[in-house]
Amino acid sequence: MQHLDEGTIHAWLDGQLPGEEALAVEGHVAECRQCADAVAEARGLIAASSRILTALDSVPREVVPNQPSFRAEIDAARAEAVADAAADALVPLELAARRPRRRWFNGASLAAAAAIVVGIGTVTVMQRSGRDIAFLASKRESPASATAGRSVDSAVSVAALRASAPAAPSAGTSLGNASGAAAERRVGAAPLTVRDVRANPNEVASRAASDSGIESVKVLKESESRALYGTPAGNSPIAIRSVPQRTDTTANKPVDQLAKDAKQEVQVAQQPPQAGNQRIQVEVPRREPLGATIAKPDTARVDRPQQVAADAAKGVAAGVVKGRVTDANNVGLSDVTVSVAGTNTRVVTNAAGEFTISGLQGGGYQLNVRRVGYQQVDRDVAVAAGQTVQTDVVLSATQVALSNVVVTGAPGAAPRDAGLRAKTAAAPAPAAPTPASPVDTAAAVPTPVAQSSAVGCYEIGVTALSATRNAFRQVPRRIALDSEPMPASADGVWYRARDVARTNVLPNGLWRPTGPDAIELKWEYGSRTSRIRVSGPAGSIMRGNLEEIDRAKATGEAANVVAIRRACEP
Amino acid sequence: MKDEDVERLFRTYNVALVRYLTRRLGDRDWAEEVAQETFLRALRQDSLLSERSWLFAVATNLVRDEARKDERRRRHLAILAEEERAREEEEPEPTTLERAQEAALARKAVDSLAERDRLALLMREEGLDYTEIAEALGLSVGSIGTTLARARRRLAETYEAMQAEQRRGVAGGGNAAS
Repeated sequence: MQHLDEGTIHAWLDGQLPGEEALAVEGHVAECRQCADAVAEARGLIAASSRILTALDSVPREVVPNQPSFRAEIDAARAEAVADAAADALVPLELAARRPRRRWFNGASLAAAAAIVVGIGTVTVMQRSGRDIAFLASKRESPASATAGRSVDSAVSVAALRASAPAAPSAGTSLGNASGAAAERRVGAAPLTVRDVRANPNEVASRAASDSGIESVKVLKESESRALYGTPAGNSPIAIRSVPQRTDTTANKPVDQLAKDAKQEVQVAQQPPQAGNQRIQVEVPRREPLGATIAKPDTARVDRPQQVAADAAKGVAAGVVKGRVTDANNVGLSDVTVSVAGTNTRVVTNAAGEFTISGLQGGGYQLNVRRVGYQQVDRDVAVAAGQTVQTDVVLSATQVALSNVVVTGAPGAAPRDAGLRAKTAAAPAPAAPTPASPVDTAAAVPTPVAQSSAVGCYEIGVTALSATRNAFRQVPRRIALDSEPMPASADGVWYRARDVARTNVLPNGLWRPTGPDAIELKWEYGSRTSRIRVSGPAGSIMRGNLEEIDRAKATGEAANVVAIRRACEP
Repeated sequence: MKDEDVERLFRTYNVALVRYLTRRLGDRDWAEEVAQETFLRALRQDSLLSERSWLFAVATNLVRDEARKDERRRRHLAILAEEERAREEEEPEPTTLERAQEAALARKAVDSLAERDRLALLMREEGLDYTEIAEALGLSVGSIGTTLARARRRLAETYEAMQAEQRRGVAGGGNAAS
């Protein structure tokens, strides 16, 4: 055999030679000193080049690249941990202890996790009668077998079964402390709201359970929602339907006009309560981010949620920090990031400005409370295991000089540098107390969401007007427009908009209808505010423009935008 | 392809693809854009025979198309620098001086490779096998070993040479001062 050429040696070391060829090389290397040296050198070269290439990464290898999608996955895992901790609280402790260890990042478990997700997704609180009684009853009659089969795929919490106690005499005891006690307890009959559910699913569950006329509380998982309603819980059909539509005991918000395709649900919901034959279903569909499951879990990154789940499974109560973030006028601030310094734990406040951080080990923590446009507040809290600490935070607005800038985009506009500057009205406005309205809104005529059929999901396409700007990378590609109203701001009522594909890229995402066939969408990131206005007849492509304003520098970019209505299924 | 297929592709390959592109482009945001565009293009395909090599090939072609527009690239960097400030508040990323120097050397060394050698090496680092690399780059499978051998030798030798030069530079400066 001739001496090995370098290419063959590399192919061999890379494990890319077919079997017999590899054997031949191996044999030759064992005998030929010269080739053995060449192999040793090649090994060195392979290792060296690998190391050099690693130095190219702006983050060290094995640290997850700072990808939005991946962050979304981590957030999803974290949210699930919260959900599980909540769900587990409804599960009998002795049964919970036997539960198999959860596999994180498993698609089934993500979908199945009893889907109470604090601060995420939409909520349905509705009363139903009749048709799912059998389903619940079967769960109830054999709690042990139901739980034995309760793998990661079956995460249903049935709590507090007051009316059915005779049918399942053992239910009261086997259901354990949390729900059993709740069933006995009579809590004041204050109406439940969607917000309650979101902020504190456990309490709502037990309250609903002890309310008169309600038999049970059930947390639906995705597949059940599909089975019962023919729609996945995580998508807009439910979101539409799930607009707080209770008018009597379970919600204090009006029936949403848009829930046409959910007419049946609403009718059911509006039937007068019949004693003993009513149930509340608490559905909290979770959003499945694009990367809800991943191929290579980075376990180091999710050890905290795992710890939470493990603690929950063992019945070990972790500490909880709750609080409300307000502005100087005591108005709750939504979308405020509350992170625990030195950990990966991070939550976002709900529409009322409330947040809950659970799963904290006892000890001292620092909370970093941040929102764009406000000064960060760092708050030290002492957490004791099993205790809930309440801490409220007031954020003051930063005095950022905002400018009234209107940037309009049109096809074939002049090159960015010349054109944009020319259109920029460089008239710095006086320091604004709130960052709510950094761009001119004259073109927008607010329309109640009830008069618009725009709620739903869209695909967004962006065409930059200038080659200097190759992409608007913070523009969401797929969005879902919800009918959940956000706290009123200076420029009217806005509703929640979500990025479906990359869940964390649309901070403070808001939208509103501006006409029968027109919508406006805005969001913020960093120092920028982006605003999309599109219009077009229903069923066709909506066209419009994008403005992106740097609030700090009062410059912006524009682009053409199209929005295509699409199904909300992932 | 259906959305769900592309999502699976995304989950499976996005991390590797972005790292590959980041190393090629020296700019992660740009890399993410190209990766995103690649997956969007996958959406328009009926089916893919060899997924990974298709993705890397398309991403590579997108980079190639873009790299031709040098002017565009230069401005892109300017915009990036500007946007960096906007992003800073979100993700501060401490980088040591040593690390930065190392990265700069590595970048120079990688840039000294021929494009084909560089791409083959970067793909190999992301775990593509020789067949996939050959498909993605339109080469014969038999030539990949040689290509990689050349790329690795050149990269390591260039890097070491530059490192030695840098050290000499530092040492020389010291002598001159004394």
